[in-house]
Amino acid sequence: MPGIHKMLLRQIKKSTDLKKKLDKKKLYQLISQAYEEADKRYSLLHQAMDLMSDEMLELNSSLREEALKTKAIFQSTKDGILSVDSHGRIHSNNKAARNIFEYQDSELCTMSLEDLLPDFNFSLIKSRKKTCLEVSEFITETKGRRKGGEVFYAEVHIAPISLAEEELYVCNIRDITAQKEYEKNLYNAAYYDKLTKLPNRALFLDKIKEIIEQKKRNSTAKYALLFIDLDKFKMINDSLGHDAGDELLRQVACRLEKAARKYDIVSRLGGDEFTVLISNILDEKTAKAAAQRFINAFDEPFTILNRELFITASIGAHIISKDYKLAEEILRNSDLAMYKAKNSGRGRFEMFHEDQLTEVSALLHMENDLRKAISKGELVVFFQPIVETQHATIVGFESLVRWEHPKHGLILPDTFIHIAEETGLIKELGYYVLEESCRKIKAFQKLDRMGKEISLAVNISPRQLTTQEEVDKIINIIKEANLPPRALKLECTETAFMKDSKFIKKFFMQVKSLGVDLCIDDFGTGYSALEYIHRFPFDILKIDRTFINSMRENKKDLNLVTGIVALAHNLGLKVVAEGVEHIEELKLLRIMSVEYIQGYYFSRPLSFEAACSFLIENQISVFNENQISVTKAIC
Amino acid sequence: MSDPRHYEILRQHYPKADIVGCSTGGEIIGEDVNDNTIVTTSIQFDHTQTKVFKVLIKDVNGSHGAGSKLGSLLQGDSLAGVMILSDGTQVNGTDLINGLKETISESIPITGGLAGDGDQFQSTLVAGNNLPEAGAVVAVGFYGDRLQIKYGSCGGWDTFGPQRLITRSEGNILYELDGKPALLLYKKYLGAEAENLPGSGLLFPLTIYPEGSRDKALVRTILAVDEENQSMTFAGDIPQGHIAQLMRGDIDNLIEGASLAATAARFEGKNTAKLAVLVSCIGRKLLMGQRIADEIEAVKETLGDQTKTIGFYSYGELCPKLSDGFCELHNQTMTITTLSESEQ
Repeated sequence: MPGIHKMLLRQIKKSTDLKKKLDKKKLYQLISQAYEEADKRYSLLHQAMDLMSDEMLELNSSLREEALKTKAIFQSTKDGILSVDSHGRIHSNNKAARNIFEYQDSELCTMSLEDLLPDFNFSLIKSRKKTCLEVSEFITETKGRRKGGEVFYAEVHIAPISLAEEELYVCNIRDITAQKEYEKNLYNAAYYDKLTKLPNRALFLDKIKEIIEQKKRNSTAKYALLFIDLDKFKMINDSLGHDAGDELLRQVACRLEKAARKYDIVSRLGGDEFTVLISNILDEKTAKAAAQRFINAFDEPFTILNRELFITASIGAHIISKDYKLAEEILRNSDLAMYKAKNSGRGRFEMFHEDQLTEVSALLHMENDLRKAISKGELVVFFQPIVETQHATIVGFESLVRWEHPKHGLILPDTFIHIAEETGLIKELGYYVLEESCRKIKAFQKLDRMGKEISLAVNISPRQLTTQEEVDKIINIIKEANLPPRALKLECTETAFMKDSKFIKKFFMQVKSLGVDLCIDDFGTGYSALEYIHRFPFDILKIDRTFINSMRENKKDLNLVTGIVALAHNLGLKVVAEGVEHIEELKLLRIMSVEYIQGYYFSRPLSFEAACSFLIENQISVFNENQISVTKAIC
Repeated sequence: MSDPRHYEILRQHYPKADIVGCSTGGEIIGEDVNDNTIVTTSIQFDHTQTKVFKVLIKDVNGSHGAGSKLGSLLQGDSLAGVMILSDGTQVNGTDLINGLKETISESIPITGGLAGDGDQFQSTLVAGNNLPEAGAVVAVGFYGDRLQIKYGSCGGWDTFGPQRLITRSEGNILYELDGKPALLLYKKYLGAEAENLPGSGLLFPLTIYPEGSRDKALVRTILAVDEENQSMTFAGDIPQGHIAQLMRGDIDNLIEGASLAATAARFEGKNTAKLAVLVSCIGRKLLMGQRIADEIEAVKETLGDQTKTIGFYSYGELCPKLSDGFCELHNQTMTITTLSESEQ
């Protein structure tokens, strides 16, 4: 039946029996039921839509509230937040972002990320997102540019957010300029020397490690390491104070940097130790030339506390080979070469050679042996005669220690005294020499038939005078020896009394009261500060051998010696000239009226027995007076 | 159905046949949908063998075990398809399927449905070569390489209203949505119809999906309500943390859904299915009333006159998902299994 709803057709079908008789009542029921069903559906739907609408309104309201809250948080956060589209165009911004970049909201909305972060590669982030699904965020540090053009360090955190219809990125931007500055300061503190602003040991070692890695990769670049140590720096600190020492270190750092070429790295390891990493070294010759350049950097005097000071440095130079695995090894070997330079006379450089390692090894053995030497009685005191200049008579001896090593034979103090000083063995060694000298004084005096009071001069190291206990022990030894007055002379270098002058002065006064004479040793090599000579109760001044040896050829040194002698005499001090090796030296010293002389010209240091014989044989005079006269005439 | 004479009559007529059946929420035969009738069809295969297995369960906790046991009973090299008729009120359909999938290859299609009880949700019966009984799960295994089997399942329901978070649930029992009792929400939406719960709950099915994965959405219907605990029991799992959204039925869209299910189950080319077993949801029938026949008509139109149709309105439909072929429990859908045998 065309035009009739198919449901009605079905209802008619269901209401028609097999004999095709229509049951109208059933049909009406079905139709009525269909209407009721439709009404129910409509009512249910209507009610559901009402409820849904209410729910949506409620949800909308809470979402709006939530959005306001989120917006407030967004605006109040300390970090700048920008949302940008896939082209980097800014969609939204917060207050912090406006503050950081110093733009208004209306300005930012027309800008893109690259206007604010000029070095930031936004397309890279996008490509990462495409190629790696796992990339959910990206953090980097870059430069930010404020409206006024000021550039700052920015930490940028970018995270894509998936929205239904657009691709957005949230950029969290933090101004980390202050943090960077802080990190830089921390880095500088960790890797730069505060005093000189030079790279410190840690940074220098890092550089060396880099070179070792380069070498592993068969790099052909050659480097040399210079290990620079100032000569007698301790004396500056002790005599002029630490501020002066620091000033000197600053000036040395400047000199070294001036001497360095563009790619060389100068650093301060600590104390008075500096290193220079020389790049582009061709061979040993160029390394030596570089080392000499740094030696020459010390030619001019340094002005410290308005004084001109001539400072030298000893340099150990070492070409870094590819065999090294540890930076510390390179440093150690350069240090060895530096010691070699120091032991060879200071103010010079030495290249590192393998045999220096053997020397060090021997030195280490020597230290062990020295510990045992005192108890085994291997240390022996030798005596060098001291002669009265005018009458050429022996007035005394200087006690000088020797080591009769069972394997190496007789070892001179130059070789082992510094080991004794470094290891603290000097104290025990010093007591031994003093005790032994006190014993021998009486023996010498008995031999002297001329009735002169033979005296012994004993060296006291500054390292022996560091505590009251040590000082007391020395005084006790002297007291117990019960010597006649003037029989013992103690020789001290200037460094001994420059450190703690009150303490030392007290010691000096004590020994003086026991009839001991005091001698200022090696005068001329230290600071020769007149103030100290005046303040301390010295009796004798001993001019260093270097001036005596050079005064014949160097007019300046001759004048210096003349001046020192005059000064000493004016201050009421007697003068001893040591290291006299030539008759000409003797003649000059006689002219200057130097009271006492000592040196190979008369005698080397002698064993006790030999010294005794020497004393007996030269009771009247040590030398032929005629020779002197002849020389004097020439002079 | 509970009258044993119905089964005995059938057995007299078909003494050697495998006889399977169940109580329903409405019967489908041809283009007609009837209530309180018995519809039957006899299927004769030239090549395909069938085996029928039955497992009884005591309560809902036995669902997984029942599936697992049936799966192991069904196993065989030539197993080509499985049709399940299960108790509709004592079974968790999701657990039942998970049990079956433990032993049956994923390539074997499993279809079928949960028996119905009109709109009463009291007690359902299932027969498997025996008198219909409660708590039974019957599986028909089809064996042989000539069997052609296709399937399709589609709902056609529309989601509406806000997305709600499942804040409290256990298995197939739902307690809270967005921290509020789910039952209260349903009662509010049902209004006067609330007194007809749980049946009327089918008017607003629930779609559930993991947050952000709407493509994995499943539809769930209510089996029971518990006033004391303010909870609702669904035909399948309601995982806590998933998103839930109410659905409503638009008659035209539901009919369109049935048509889409038929399109998926339709054989391609000149080949036509001999039989289509339709398992549609009682919820569709409750909403559509007399217009329910429209969906059967749409199916018939799609499948063609050559394909005989039989089926029932169920408390849950079983059918593989078209996307990955894995069997799932569906609700509120029209689910169609089409069968035929190839000549070679």
